Amino acid sequence: MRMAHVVKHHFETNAIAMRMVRKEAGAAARAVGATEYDAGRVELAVCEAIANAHVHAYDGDPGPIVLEITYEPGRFSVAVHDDGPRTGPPFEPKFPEPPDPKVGNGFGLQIIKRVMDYASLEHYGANGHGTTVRMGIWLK
Amino acid sequence: MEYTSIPPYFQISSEEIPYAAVLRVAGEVDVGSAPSLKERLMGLIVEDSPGTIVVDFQSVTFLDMSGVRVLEVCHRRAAQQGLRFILVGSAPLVHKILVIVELDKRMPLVETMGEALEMLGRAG
Repeated sequence: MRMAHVVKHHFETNAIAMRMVRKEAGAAARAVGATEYDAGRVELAVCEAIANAHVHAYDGDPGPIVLEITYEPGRFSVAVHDDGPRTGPPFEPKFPEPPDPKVGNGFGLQIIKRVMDYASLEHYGANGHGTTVRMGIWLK
Repeated sequence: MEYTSIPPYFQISSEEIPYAAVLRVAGEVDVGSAPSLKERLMGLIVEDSPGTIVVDFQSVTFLDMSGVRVLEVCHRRAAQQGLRFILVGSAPLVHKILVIVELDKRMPLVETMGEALEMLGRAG
């Protein structure tokens, strides 16, 4: 039987909480066998996912985030859920193509896609609220 | 979103060497510390600056997009002032983010201070 172990953190997007939570995600990855480098990948991806929610879901204001950390044998996954209305252009639940460096948007998601072993985006709610970034690494 | 109530977890120091101002950064550059980095870096990019700004990232252990944006903005400002901007070093994960955002294609990125000094020597 594959047992999944899940830990959830609820917090608001502000600089100190974001630092605490990304550190916790990295520590959790190390606790189940991730290397320093792999734990660093987790920290970076979590940081970018929360920053993305902070800017695009909450327009730079504090807003609620749920970070869900899951360990299963052989893999370590993280989901970052926000509950915000997306601002700006209509949100496409997909990772952007490599963005134009001159424009500068979309790099957070691109980093997540490139540093993690797997990643996906979900957009839910009929009123356009709420986005989840799911991502993870394989544990050797 | 700068941190104001927790102990600092990154350090910045600066010195002038022939032809360059060097900013040494150690620790983590993230959404909370990036504003301090920007302030110090912009402080070096002034009219009477030496011809090159060297940013030493060899002891930076974490860098996110907020830090990358600071580097980009300061690089652009330096170029406007006619100054050269060299970024030195990077831990593997820091290097990875610089490559993903293609910063390595937009500014000189070298591995050691020795290489940076060599570039300065060639320029000076």
